[in-house]
Amino acid sequence: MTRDHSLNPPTTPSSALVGAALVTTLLALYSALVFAPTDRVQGDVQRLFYLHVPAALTMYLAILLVFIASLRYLQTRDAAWDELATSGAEIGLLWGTIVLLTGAMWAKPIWGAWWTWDARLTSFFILWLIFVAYVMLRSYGGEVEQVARFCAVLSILGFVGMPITHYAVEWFRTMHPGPVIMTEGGLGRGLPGSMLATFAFGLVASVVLFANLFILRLRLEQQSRRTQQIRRHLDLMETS
Amino acid sequence: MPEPAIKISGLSKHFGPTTALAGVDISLQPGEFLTIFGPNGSGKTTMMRIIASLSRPSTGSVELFGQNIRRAPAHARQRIGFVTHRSLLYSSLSGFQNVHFFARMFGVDNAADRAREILSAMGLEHRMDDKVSTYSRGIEQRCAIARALVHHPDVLLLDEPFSGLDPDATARLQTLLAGPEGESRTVILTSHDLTYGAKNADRVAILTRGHLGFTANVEQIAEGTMPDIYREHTRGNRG
Amino acid sequence: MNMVRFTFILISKDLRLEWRSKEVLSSTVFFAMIALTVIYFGFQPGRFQVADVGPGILWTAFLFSALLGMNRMFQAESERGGLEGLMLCPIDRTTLYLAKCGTLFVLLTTTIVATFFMFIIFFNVRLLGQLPQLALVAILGSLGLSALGTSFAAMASKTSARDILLPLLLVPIAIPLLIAAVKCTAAILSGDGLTTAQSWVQLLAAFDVIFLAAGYLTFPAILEE
Repeated sequence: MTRDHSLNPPTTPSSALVGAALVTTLLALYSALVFAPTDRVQGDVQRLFYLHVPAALTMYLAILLVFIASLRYLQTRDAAWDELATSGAEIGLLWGTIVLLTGAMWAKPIWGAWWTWDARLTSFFILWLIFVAYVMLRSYGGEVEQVARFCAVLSILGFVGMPITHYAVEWFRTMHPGPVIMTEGGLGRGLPGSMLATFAFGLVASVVLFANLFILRLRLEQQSRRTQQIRRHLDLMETS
Repeated sequence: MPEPAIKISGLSKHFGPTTALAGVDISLQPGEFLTIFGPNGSGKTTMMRIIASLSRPSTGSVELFGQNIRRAPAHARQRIGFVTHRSLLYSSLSGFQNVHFFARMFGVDNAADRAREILSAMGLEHRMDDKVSTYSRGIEQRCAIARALVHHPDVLLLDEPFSGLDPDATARLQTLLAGPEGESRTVILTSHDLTYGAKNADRVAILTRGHLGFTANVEQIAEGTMPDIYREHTRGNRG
Repeated sequence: MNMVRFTFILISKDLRLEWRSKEVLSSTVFFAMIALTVIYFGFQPGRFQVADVGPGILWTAFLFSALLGMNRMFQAESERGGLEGLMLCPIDRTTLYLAKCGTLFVLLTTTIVATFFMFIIFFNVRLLGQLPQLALVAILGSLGLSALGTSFAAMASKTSARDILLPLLLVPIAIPLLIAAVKCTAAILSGDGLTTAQSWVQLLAAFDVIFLAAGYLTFPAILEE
């Protein structure tokens, strides 16, 4: 007897999670816009940092999620893992787009250019491209089961290539502001307390919001697959 | 009791909520010829592909002469010949080059001679050096069968091999299958054709929506009643 | 029947097929020629140093022609269900990977060599005994591209949008290879030699190892349902 998770009732973000998203997002917004002090050097534009960096970290989380789900899918061939992977990839892509957009908004006043090819940005952009490829493969990869396997392989190959991409791009060039969270003095020494707290709120809000959207997307995927199956049954009934 | 040539137990194939096969059990003795009928989407091709090890089942197993094919898939493939409606031949090579290549891949001794032999048995002596792209559908299908037989497989899987063939080519094919090359083998054939499909069969079965709803020895079926039996078992398909 | 023998039979069949039709090689070599030409016209004459932009031009032209070649190679295979025929043979799926990768490697190496020649002629590059070094970079580069390309071209060939999917899948992940190959070639052309670009050579080699291994292990999942 197979344990087919897809036939379980679809999951919805529980009211607790939705509530948490609301609270943390409001808190993070307030902190970022009001509570945190204005940066001496960069001015108010710096506030984008509280959205930009947490979103980037959340996208790395999404990458890990998709990688693990892909691996498990190939091992078990249980469609539930595939649903997790595709939902994670799509929301991860959304988050990555936010990172790139906020990055550009931040870069223009500070560096004078919308885009530079510095190491960290380029590496991140490449990861974003891989997510785009994943989503395109979903659409054009053929029928569901084949696409599931292909996307799983893509995410594994992409993940495995991350270290070497990081080094290649870094040796190529560097320009991004130096790390302020993980500096030599230890975690968080580069920032004054209030900024660090705001950053933390931002990170929590980002992850919780991601979780909400992720589960919504997951539910959508599950219902979509169920609908397709019903449609297929109806077609078969007609032709027989 | 001799070991069954093919033993299929609890075979199912699904992806998420979609089910192609819903638990199939059947055994074939060595030398037995089984024809499976079924409407489109019933899972015939899925089942054949699983037995041929082109596809993985979700649950269940296929045993070939007592050996689970998943344990040693390469060994299992050595004993299987698979024909589907696509010929799986290289169109820019000749019939002989194709069959010779597969003979070498299957480790056949004197591959070139064996290739010529089987192609002649399929009636292709005069066409074997022409490129496959020049073949008619009927000739290409015969060449595909030569490819499937070149390594003396114990088991022959034929998935709708008559599709796209005119009645003359169909008849030729059936004669070939009834002849020396087809006789000693365990054969599973799937077909749409209710009149011809069971011609060489020892047993027939009907697959509907992933279930084997009906199996019987050919002697038990009165002449010409197959279409009625088929209609009865595939009617409605109430989910 | 061991892996080596099968791989050999498969590769020789593929290369023989290619030799008759020259379908893949002619497209890649001519495309590289066109690409080099077009990119050349993109620069103001006399305003660039070959040693600066040359390696980039070379590898860009090669990458795009390689993408074209990969697609054609697997398309020819999938046309009559060729890959499925191979899957029926008593060989492991992983052996199939090695065979396809091997064939692709031969084709891509030929292409890069041809591209190098055209580049040297078009841009009037003088080589002072640097051929062995160039050969090393060519081989490492085309090996990495073959390793990745086999996986993704096999995937793309089974879909309807194969011409856009292959570049989309392959290029982002192949960027480290591109960077390293360009850096190595630049070091050679500028006269400094590969000893100054050691870390890049190592990166190339690491890329090859990683993706040969990953491609080998994931190929069964690409082929088998």
